[in-house]
Amino acid sequence: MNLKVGLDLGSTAIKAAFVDSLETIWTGVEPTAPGQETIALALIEKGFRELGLSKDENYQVASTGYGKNLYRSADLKLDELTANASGLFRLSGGKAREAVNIGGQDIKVLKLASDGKLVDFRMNDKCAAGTGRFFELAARLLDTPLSKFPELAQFGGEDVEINSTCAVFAESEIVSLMSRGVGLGPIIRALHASVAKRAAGLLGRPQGAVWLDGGPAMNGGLVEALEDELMTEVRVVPNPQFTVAYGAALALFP
Amino acid sequence: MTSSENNNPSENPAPPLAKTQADSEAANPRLERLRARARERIDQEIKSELAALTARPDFHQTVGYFTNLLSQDLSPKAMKQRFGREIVGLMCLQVPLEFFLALDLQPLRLYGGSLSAAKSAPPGLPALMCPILRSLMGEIIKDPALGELDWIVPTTCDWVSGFESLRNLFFEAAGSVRVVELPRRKEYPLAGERWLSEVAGLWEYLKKISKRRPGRKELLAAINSMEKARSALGRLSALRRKGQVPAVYFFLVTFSFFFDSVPDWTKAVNDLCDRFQGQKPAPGPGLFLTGSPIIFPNFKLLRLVDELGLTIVGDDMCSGERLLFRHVALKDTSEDGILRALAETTHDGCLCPVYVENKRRLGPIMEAAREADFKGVVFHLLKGCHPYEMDSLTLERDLFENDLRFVRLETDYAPEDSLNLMTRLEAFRSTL
Repeated sequence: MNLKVGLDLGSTAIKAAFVDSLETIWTGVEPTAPGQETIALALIEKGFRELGLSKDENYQVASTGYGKNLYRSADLKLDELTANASGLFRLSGGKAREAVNIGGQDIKVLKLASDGKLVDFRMNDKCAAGTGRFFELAARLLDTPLSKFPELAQFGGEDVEINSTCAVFAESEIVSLMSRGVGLGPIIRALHASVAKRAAGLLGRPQGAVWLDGGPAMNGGLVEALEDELMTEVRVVPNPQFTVAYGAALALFP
Repeated sequence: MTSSENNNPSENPAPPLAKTQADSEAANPRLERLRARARERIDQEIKSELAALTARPDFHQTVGYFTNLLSQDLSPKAMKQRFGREIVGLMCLQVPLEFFLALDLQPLRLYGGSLSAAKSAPPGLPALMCPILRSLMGEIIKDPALGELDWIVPTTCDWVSGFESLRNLFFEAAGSVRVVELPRRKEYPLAGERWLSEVAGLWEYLKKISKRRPGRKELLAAINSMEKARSALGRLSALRRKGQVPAVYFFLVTFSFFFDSVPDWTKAVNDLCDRFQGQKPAPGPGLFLTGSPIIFPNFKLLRLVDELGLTIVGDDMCSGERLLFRHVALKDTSEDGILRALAETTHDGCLCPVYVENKRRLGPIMEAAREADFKGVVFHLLKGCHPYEMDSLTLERDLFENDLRFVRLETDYAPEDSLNLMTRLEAFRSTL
């Protein structure tokens, strides 16, 4: 076994991907909290346990994400954009050229060369608009778990819009919509459209299909909204939350 | 309503905070507290940045000359005592610095790089205000004497052009403001003549302030002195092209220009060049820096670049290489001829994005790329800096067409986005 572990220490979740012979064999996630290194170590231990592997198994760890330097014993540390490009390129079968990653506190747009190398990128600045944090804030306000968003977005009702790109102002817009008696379905659709608009603004005009990853990519409603905004096909790889962790692990292979 | 409750100065302006230093402090204990707090925080911020510079393993006494300069009391009052000449505030660099030398005046660049000063600025200023000028507002809170200087304000960006009104909304007893109107279409046939008449008018104005009547002899001596300073900075820039001068030191040098006499500063820069001459070039990939000015003590981006092992090999900022960018081409040594040469130097050499036609922004970057062989350009964009924000879009396209990678880093003076900036710089490095 040639085991490589990719750790993505993000702002809202710590993700681990165990990779053997370039294939993911296990993934795990824990919410980010103080003591990231301890959480990451426990996550790795969990992976070993669930895979039935001995602790003596030889393995290497690559860390990425905002907390990459907190995992001190990493064999390799790399930035999450490079890891994302690498992971997504392989998972897309070498097809991804343009991608959007929605993370806990940022939104990133990546452009990849035909060999999968990152050639250009954009990131949001100090602003939570269009990020996972924005969704979490909305979920709290709507008292609805994020996992219900795709389903609820299908419910009918008048079309409404959330125009503010600022998360704080968007919050007051949501409150205002709720006080008008607008249902959850239209509000969630408006949220998806607002995030899609933000992502599209960073990406510009796409040249072909666009790949979406990060936790919010599991939300089919958002995928649909992004397709509407970009007027192109939006594809999602399986387990999009772990693309970056997987890409970090890939960097350990020769 | 207290000024802290007032969020919209245009609807309900707060009462001016300061009349003169003496009477306002006696009459307003709140202002006194505010000023003391601002002074303490700003001084602490400067001390911390200087301590970080002196703690660097490559720190040397030739650099110490500049850190020592900035450790002194930099207030206009202290500078006046130190230099024995009148201090004149100068916003933007389009005016000939030779005038100040010829008239024995000391120019003080009016721009703020301190986060603590920005936080000390009066409440009620626009939320997305240029951080440089917000910080300057805080500096005036710290030391009202700054607002009482005579100021020269070229009409560059809208923030600069409108700053006098904002300042007067919050501070009383300000000194005079001489506005120098910038023709924004350089290629327009009359632009050069219009600028010459502004420069000539400024020369007369400064003569009145200085109460001196110098002529061509003094102007020629000033040009001679400034040319030596330009050559010294050019030497330092050439060493930086080879990766021999850390960016934090380069910007320390340019910032300190306004806190010393020109000959002493020139000698110190030449000493620094001698020191760096044999230095091993930094191994990291070279980058070119452009965009909104980086002003001491806000060296956040420069430190991040350093931490990542990247090397800035050139910049075109008015707080960096462009401080003394272009040599004076003197064809006619009559007083009129000298004024014309100075006007042409300042006008043609200026790369500020406030001009209508801005294709000239690309030339110096490509020239630097030929000298230093770098592959990437970092665009430092301060939030609220609209001309540079617009400029970044066209520059990105132009650089792309010339096979140079580009990253735009929008930020402010606060340190909280350091991780975000670091991530982008790391990713950018991987694209080079």
